[in-house]
This record gives sequence, structure tokens and C-alpha cells, in this order.
Amino acid sequence: MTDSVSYPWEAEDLKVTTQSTSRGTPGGTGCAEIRALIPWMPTDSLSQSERERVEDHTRSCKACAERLAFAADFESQAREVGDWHPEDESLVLFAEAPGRLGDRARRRLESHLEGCAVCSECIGVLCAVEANDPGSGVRSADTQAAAPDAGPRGWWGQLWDTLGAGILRPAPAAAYLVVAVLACVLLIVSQTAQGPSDSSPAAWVGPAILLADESGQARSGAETESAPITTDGKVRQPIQIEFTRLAAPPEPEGLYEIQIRPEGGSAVWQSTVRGKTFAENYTLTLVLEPATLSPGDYHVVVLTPAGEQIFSSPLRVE
Amino acid sequence: MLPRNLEEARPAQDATVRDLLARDPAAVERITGWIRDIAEHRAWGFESSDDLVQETLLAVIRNLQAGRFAGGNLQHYVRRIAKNICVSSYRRSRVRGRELPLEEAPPLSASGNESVRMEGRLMVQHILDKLDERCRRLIRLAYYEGLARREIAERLGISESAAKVRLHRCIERARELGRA
Repeated sequence: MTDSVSYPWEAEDLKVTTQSTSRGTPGGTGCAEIRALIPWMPTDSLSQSERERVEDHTRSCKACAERLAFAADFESQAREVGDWHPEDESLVLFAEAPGRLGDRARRRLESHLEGCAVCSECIGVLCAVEANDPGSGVRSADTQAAAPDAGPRGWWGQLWDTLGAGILRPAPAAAYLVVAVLACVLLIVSQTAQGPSDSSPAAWVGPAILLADESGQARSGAETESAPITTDGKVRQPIQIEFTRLAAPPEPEGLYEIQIRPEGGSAVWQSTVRGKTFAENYTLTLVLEPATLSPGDYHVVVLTPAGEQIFSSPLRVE
Repeated sequence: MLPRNLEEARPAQDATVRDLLARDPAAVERITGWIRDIAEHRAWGFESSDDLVQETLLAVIRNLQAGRFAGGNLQHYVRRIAKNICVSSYRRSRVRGRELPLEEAPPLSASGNESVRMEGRLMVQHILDKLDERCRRLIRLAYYEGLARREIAERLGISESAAKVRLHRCIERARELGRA
């Protein structure tokens, strides 16, 4: 249905107060000015003084109070309706560096990723792409100049630079049978019952690039031991594990077991997936319930249908 | 003041933009190479990325023509556009044909408070359906994604005051629709 109402978008910088009623609070704040702020009350966008002005005004103005109630209710309901997904740009920004999103937007996106396999997969793929194109440093509106090499680069970017050109990039294609990219999104939330606003987000460390040789073992203990996957146990963190040079692709119907084991212990977490799950899209999303892992050193291992270990890499929960 | 390396890079970058807009083959090839680095990454699993490369190239040219690239690093700008387009395509391809498992399907009936909540959601869905796309996008950014006013303004390429007024008008419209 076509909306018959046309908005004067071109004149949107017009002061709303030009439509103001003469009614106002004793402090002199008019309804029109308050009404322009009301839709932003459910968001984190208003300053303390703006919030106070709205709250003061709505205490004595029934019409504005009604609008405030509508906005709050609408915001709450709008979050639950439809099949909304974050914009492409939001996923791209998050994959480049979650810190590029505001706290509220980041929490919302993380909450969405918990329940959306497609967007979680997408983050995994973007992390893989990002490994070749680490943090661009470009702002959405492109209003800020960025140095050509500017942008956050974690240790993984440096690792990629160091190892990637010589080892990972499939120069002789036949030599590199890249059979699967396993992008793991581990959702690890604080073990305590802290709400999202109480947990202080840890620094983003980026996806880990881990290598496996033909036997499935980590290519070099020194390389991976010096750069284990690290997570602080509070913040979900996409972790990318890239398998290279495996002898054969996963068997589509074969059951592969992903295990997380402490040093010298048995699995504290495991999940079984069919080979086709990661053979089709080179992507697999694993979700760990909160408090699954206590701080310590672990190993992530992948076992074939025959029980053969084809991958092992350190994981540190701090 | 611009970083020195960017100051040095800018003339070359400006020349690339100029050449691209003039459809200089060398410039087109250079930009296309940047796009291919993203679109042809094996992690996407695209069978063919030719259409995406073309779509990105057109988007880049359109944006440059419209003056939407106001500085920064051209290569990163192009790559960002390529990533956005690839994400869009990837999500479309993944959602298509994806069947909702029964356990994820919404309940067919509800009672009590849940029924009231569902009515509210239906009403909001009805309102959203009637709003124009610009309003829906704005509401999605502000209320679903939780972007702050500054982030929304940046995303839409408008001023914060314009974003403020836009959401106000959209919610006023939503309110009218809810009362109709």
C-alpha cells in the first residue's frame, strides 16, 4: 500500500518548534520541542539534560505523556515483530571491529546473533574476508580521512601478514586443498547473573587463524601456542578456525565431533555436526551456553567419523 | 591535518577517482581488482561473483558521481561497499530455501498475557507495513538495532538534527496509524 502522506524531507532541518503550541511547562519548554525528543527516549541518544526536560514536561502534560508511552511501547514491540535483521553495514562494522558500534548497538547485534544462524554465519564469513582485509578504518559517512593503513589490526592481522603470504594464500591451487573453513561463533557470557549493561566488554581480539597440516595437527606448536584463541569468558567472540591442506573433504553424511577439552582432561563441551554442514558453506556456528567454560587452558579438537583427530588447537579462557 | 602518508596518497587517489569516472580502463581494472579481492573470497562460497563485482562497481561509480565519497581511503571505501553487497547477497542466498524447524516456529495459538502481547505485535506490524521504507529503516536502526542518533545520522549521511526530526515525524505517523 502506498503511503499517501508525504514528508517534507528536504526541509527536515526546519525547527520543529515552528509548529509549537504555546503550551509549556513552567520552565518554558514547549510541547513541540519535547515531542521531537520523545521518540529518542527509548534509545541512548539523549543527554541527561534532555531526558530531564522530557521527564519534567511529561509529568504535567498528559498529551506528551501519552506520546512518551506510545514511543516506549512501540520501541518494545517493534523489537519483537517481523523478521528484521541488522543492516549489512552493521555486520560489516561488527566484523571489522565491534568497537565501531556503540555499546547499545553492539549488545543488540550480539543478542540478534544468538538467535540468528544466518547472520552468525555471515559474521564468520566476514571474519574470514577480514583476515585478508583487516580493519578498514573507514567511517560510514566517509567524512573522516583515514590513513591508507589505518585501522585496528590485532595480533591475528600481524600473524596473517607474517604467515599468510607464504603459507595460506593458495598460490599453487593444487597444493592447497582448502576443504573447509570452520567459522565458530562462541557465545560465552559471564558466569555470574550480571545483566548486559553490567558486564564490561573486553577488548576485541579478532578471529584466530589456526593452521592444520595434512595430519590435521596444528601446523606448528610454536605458532599456535604463542597465539592461542583467547576469550575472557564474558564476551561472545567470533573465532575463526581455518582448515588447510586436509587430505580429503569432509564426508557429507559423516558425523564430526567438535570437542573442547581442558589440558589433559576429557571434553567439557562437545557437539556433533554432519560433514555437509560445513562442507556446503564452509561455515559452522557453534553456540556455547553461558558459563560453559571456566577460566583455563583448553584445546579445541575435531574428530572424524572414525574417531581420528583431525584438528587440535589451544583455547584460553581468561 | 592529514597524516603525511595520506597527504601523499591523496593526489594519486584523486586521479584514480577522476579516471574511474572517465571510465579509464586502467582505473576500472584497478578498482575491479579491489572488489574481486572481496567478492571472490572463497569463504562466501559464491559460485560466480561476476554479478556482484559489476553491482559493486556500479555502486562505487554512482556514489562517486553523487559526491558521497568525501575523503578517506578509496580502497577501503570500495572494499566496504563490496563487503556490504556481498553480505546482502550471502544473506539472501542463505535465507532462500532455509526451512524453519518446527521447534523454531511460532506457536499457533496463545492465551492470556501472551495473547495481549501478540495483539500488540500485530498492531505494530500493521503500522510498520503501512509506513514508508524510509521510516521503517529509521525505526529499525533506532529501535531494533539500537543505534544512537549520531550513528544513525552517520549511516544515513544526514545531520543529527535531521535524524531527530525524521524519527519524530515517523513516530507521529505511526501513532496516527495506530489510532486509525
